[in-house]
Amino acid sequence: MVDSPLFKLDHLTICQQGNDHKPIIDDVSFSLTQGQRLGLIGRSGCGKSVTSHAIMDILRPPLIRKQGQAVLQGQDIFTLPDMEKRRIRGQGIFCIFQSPGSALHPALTIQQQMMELSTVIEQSPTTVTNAIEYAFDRMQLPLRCLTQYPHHLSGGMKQRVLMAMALLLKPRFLIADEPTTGLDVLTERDVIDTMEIMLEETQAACLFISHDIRIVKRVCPDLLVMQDGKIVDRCTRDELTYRDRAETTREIIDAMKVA
Amino acid sequence: MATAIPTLLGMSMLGFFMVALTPGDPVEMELRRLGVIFTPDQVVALRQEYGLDQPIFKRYLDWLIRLLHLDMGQSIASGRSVLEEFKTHLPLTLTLASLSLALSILLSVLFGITAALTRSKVLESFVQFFSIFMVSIPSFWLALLLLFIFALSLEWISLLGSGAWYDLVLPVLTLSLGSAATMGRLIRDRILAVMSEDYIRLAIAKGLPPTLILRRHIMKSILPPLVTNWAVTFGALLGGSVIVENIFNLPGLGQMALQAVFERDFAILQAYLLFMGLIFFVSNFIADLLNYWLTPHFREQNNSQMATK
Amino acid sequence: MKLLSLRATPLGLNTGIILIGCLLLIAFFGENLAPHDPNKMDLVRRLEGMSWTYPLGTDHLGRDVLSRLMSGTLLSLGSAVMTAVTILFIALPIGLISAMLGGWVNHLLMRITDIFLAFPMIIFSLVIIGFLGASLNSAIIGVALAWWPSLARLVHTLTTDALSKDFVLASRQCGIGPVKLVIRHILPQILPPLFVVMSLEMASILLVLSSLSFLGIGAQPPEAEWGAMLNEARPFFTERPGLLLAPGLLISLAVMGFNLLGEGIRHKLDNRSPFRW
Repeated sequence: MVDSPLFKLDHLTICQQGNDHKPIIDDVSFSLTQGQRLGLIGRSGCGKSVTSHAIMDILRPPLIRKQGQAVLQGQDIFTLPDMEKRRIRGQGIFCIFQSPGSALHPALTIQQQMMELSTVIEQSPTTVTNAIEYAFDRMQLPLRCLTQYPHHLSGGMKQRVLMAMALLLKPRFLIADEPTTGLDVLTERDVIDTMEIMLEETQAACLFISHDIRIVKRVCPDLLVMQDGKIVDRCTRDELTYRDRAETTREIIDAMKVA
Repeated sequence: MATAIPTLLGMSMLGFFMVALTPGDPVEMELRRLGVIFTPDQVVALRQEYGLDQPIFKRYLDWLIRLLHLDMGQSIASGRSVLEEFKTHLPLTLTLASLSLALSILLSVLFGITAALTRSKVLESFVQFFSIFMVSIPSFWLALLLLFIFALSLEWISLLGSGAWYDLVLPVLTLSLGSAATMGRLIRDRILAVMSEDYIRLAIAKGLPPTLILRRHIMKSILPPLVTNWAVTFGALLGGSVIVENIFNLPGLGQMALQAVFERDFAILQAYLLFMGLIFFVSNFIADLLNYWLTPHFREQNNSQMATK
Repeated sequence: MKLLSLRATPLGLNTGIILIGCLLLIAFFGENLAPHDPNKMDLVRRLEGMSWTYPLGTDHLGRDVLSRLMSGTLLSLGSAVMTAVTILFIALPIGLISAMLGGWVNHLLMRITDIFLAFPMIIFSLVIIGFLGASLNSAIIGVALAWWPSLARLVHTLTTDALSKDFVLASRQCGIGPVKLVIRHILPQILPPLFVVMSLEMASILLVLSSLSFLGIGAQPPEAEWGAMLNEARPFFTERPGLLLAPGLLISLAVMGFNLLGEGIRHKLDNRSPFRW
């Protein structure tokens, strides 16, 4: 059986405004099938996060998209009208951003921020309340968090709140942008564990972005290596042997001492 | 609020010494004004009677105690007590400033949101031009323009006023258009700044409708600084009322103060200054209270503890 | 470009430069260029409309409005510049001293600025004028006294920033004297941003000064200051509204010029466009 890809990114090129010669993202393409987990690794600043923002179509100026297509189930996100784009965001593609500390609204309780998803998933408030309780249970979050504000929660808990949101939304394609940045090793493990649970439940395809090859190896069977805005290597985790890989890959493996 | 007492004291000192240090002996000036022929002995006697021979610090304390009893002396021009003068002129100015604040809040929110969210270049250019235009034209000229249009050209209203409530329409419009443009620009800048926050990105990523993001996420963030700004604007509107009252011939505090400048009525001027300082405190206090209510997440921040698993 | 706006593009800055440039030309050469003697009265030809001889008509004393506007430019702009200089003269030392000395001096000076800042600018100026007696000089002093605290606070912030720079710390540790430190390291850092702010402030100073003159407590007739001209023409508003509208327009243009200039420079220095949906 030939899997037609769930999501396909084609020739994405992003430049700084007024500077066409040095693209930040240079002709990046990849695709994911239903439920596939793809890791994207590379140094800080190589363009990983920009890629995720570009896919959501929320780039900030002065960055602009020069060319490219992001096709989710046959629809090119970039060319959709705003209304359609909004429908894709959330249940089609959802993104768990880096730095959960600033991703949650500081002046709204966790409950308020969870409950507003009812407008997106078009369910009655009672159903959503039940779904939230279930999601919190799965993500090992105590229910008392609901009445609290983000600054009451630890970094790991905030990250799991975001995952609980993903559990509610059940996106077909989830982007996890360095979800473990700034967490200690134990919390990191907890977060990754809960993320695995969440991915299994939602059956979402996942683009997992990280600079940490150990975690990527744990989560994803397939890997992309990025350097200076280009994809320089594609492999499966079993192919991560030293010899035949691209230079960047070797450097990363060396640095992590996993090979 | 711990800084309130020293600042209030400082204000009162400023008000007191401004009068005390003004050149010219107040007793002699008063006698001259009354046209009384006087001898140096009489001056000395009167100085003693008014306590002007006391050391200046003692005079300040006495004055302060009288001030706390709302005794602010007498207007030389009218002979009425300053308190009476205030009672006559205050209501109009307060009405004018409050109505103008309400209208400028309404206009600036509409204006700021439109300016921040529009994608139409034409509209955006118009909004930009309009805001810089409104910030640049003096309020007295705006008032004259409005009078020119509505009283002279269209003849909808009389230049002299009619004593009815709609006499306040043009003054309120004059006062609020200027401040609405300034505030609208502030709101626009704030909205654009908040829109680059990570939590707005998340809200977009969640697929929330833009109206909800605006109403809830963005407004919740920009409201507290706006409330503080409104308190400051209220003071500025009271200041602007001097000009507007003058043009539209409204007998408010501003007219009273302007008259006092011409008549060199120091008691009125001193009280006017202190009153404005007090208004600043009260409006800031109200803004602080509102913000306390608007930002529940800051309330427990001091004694909050990181929740642990 | 999405953010095409009047102020953001050089168009705004250029308009500002042109406006200010024209006004400066008129300020310096206005007296010579003026078609008539600005103070020559002709009671036969009072309150005349526009004509070839009198392009903007005549006022209630038969003086040529255009000539008066042109020759008044120097006084109107000059008094605003004088005010700005006076403000800097008070604000710069106070801001520098409080930031350099720190401690209780800083505390006291900043508390004093707080007290001044509590009063609306125009009201404070008005009260000062009340004590000094109405004249252009009183207005300049009044506005300067009302204005210096906000500038002093700005100087304080800028100086504190400048002091925290590594090279300033280094030269301090090498035992450089305070005067030398200020001249060599602090002033070069704080003056450029200060001048940008001052060009924006010029707009507001011009507004307040002309408002005070309009109220009759600033420049006094027969001086051909724009605000004073407005004040003089007020009784004739119904007969000749143009007498009030023309000087007002000129004030607006001057204020707009300074606003566009300041905004333009600021935008050039800080060229980040915000994120939009």
